[in-house]
This record gives sequence, structure tokens and C-alpha cells, in this order.
Amino acid sequence: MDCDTAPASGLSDIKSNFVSIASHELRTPLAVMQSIAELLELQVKQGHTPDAAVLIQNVSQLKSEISRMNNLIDEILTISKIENANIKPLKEKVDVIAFIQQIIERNNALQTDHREIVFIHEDNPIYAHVDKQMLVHILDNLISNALKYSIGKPAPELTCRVNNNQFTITIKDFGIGIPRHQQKNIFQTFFRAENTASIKGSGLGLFIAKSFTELHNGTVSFNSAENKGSVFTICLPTE
Amino acid sequence: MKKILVIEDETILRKNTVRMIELTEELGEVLVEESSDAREALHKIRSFQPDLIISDFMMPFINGNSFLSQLRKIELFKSTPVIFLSAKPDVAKLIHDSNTSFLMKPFLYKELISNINNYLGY
Repeated sequence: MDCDTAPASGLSDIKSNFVSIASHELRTPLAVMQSIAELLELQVKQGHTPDAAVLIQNVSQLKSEISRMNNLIDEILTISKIENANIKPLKEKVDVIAFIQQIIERNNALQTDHREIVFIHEDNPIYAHVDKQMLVHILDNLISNALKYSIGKPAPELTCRVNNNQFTITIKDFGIGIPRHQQKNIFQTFFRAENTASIKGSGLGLFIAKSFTELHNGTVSFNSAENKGSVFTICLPTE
Repeated sequence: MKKILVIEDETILRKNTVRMIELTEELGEVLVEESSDAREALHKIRSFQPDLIISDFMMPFINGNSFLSQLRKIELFKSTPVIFLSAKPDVAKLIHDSNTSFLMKPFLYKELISNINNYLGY
């Protein structure tokens, strides 16, 4: 795979719809929370107070929707900063291999199906000047996508190599892939491919990952085939 | 017994909506079925034959507008009332069909029941 930049996202068109779509996305978890509250109220009024197990499940659902809203608000604020050119990488020297290892371990610990990312890398450390928070965001997004879109398939593979003054991170999964006719849209805000309907996601993560990569003068590219999997590649300068 | 089909891709919202309708005594005995998307719903309606459909508007595969036009092509459902649930305030402008209404998400339980009553005449 080469390191060409992915196609432009048609940002001006997306901007005009951004507030409208953002409000829709924020109202959805609100609607779920409202339904939980309304159903509880109705049950109590009718004398059918749910038992402790159901109440705990309701609380867990409410917390999950609050977290979903919170993440969405964070992502919307990040996008606002990106679009207003109000965000710059604060670079520091990092051992990329050790840093990625930490990110992988954290993501593995969150997995409920016990799959672990296969990490392929050279023995020597790779030193680069990067914004650690941005690199965490980029990798969290690509790793979590690789995992959630490949449930029941072999664990995704992450490869990190250095070549001259740049390092390349490749994340390969064996999951559902991206339908060919929708591949040009995947870096648009709020875009979600039609085969992801049953899998939760905001449609903002890849836009942010691409923007953060480009703020480092890097590139992101991908190859994908439906029902075979996807390979995302990030190329970043070491300086 | 009246039959209502609820179409919503958000699982918790769909199941809670179904439960709220089932628990509402003033609606009497109702049979409620559910679908997670409009494509599945278009298959289900032929056997279930709902008297009323409550549907999300922004859905995977087929949106509310396409769903309605496909529904109206079926003779049996030419005038079946549809209550659309949408988090986008401007979608009502997309629909020109006298047997539809819109509820804005997040919606109140009372509003939903009132809309159901309007169509099913309790």
C-alpha cells in the first residue's frame, strides 16, 4: 500500500448540514433516555414497579447513553476546533513502538470477546515527534473500528515500520469491509456505511483521525473489500 | 384487536416504545410487532398487516420517505396511517401524505398515545 492522501471530503457541503445532523445525533440518545424514564414512570404508576435487576439494567442503559452523548459532544467540539484551525499538535519525542503497545493493551482490555490485536514491529525503538493525545485519538479510532467491524473474525493486525524520515502504521482487519460505492464518503463527518447499521458509532472518528494525521503533515489511506476486511495506513513524519 | 408495527433501529427506544403501547390500558388490546429497519418491515407487513405504523425516519438502508412510497405502492397499505419519529425537525416538509404525522424526538409518551388515538379512534 502506498501513502497517498485519501480523497478530499467535500467539506464545504458537509459544513452546511453539520448543525442539523449534529442536533439529530444528539437528540437520539436523549430520546432513548426519555423512553427509559417514561416507561419507568408508567410502570410505577400502574403498580408494576420493576425489580432490582431491571432497575440496574435501566441505570446501565442510562449511563451508556450519557457516555454516548458526552463522547459525541467531545467529538463535535474537536471538529469545531479543527475547522476553525484552532488546534495545533503539541509535539514531543516519543518511542512510537512502546507508545502503540500501551494503546493496544488498553484497547485489548476493553474487548469482551478476548481477541487481542496482533502487533508486528521491528525490535528497535522508533522515535518520532508527535502530539501524544492526537496519536492516541488516531489509533484508538482505527483500532476500535478494526475490532468492532470484525466481530467473530480473527484479531486485527497492527504493523509499525520506519522508512527514512517517516513511519508507517498499518491496521488490518478481516471484517465486514466498506461497500465499494461508499468508500469515497468515509472521511465525511457523520457518514456511516450502510453495512454498519447494527454497530454503534458516531461517524465522526475517521474525520478526526484524518484531520489529526494531516495536522502532523501525514497521510491516511485505505483499501477495503466488503466481507473481506479493511487495511488503513497512516504515514507520519518522524520529525 | 388493532395491530401496530414499530420500526426503529435504536433497540432500547424500539423495545420501550413497544412496551409503553402494550401497557397503555386506554388503547385496549393491541398487538404490537417490531422491526429494526424499514427493509425488514416491508417484508413483515404483508403477513402482520398493521392498522398503524410507527416509524423512525432516519433509518439504515431505506429512509422514511422511501419507505412510505414503497408502502403506498401496496394496495392494502395505501391509506395505513404512519406516525414518523424524527430527531430532525425539517423532515416533515419532505412528506406530502395526509395519513402521516410527525413526532419530534425525544417525544413524550402522552404525545405518542394521543397520536395513536387519533388514528385508531379510541
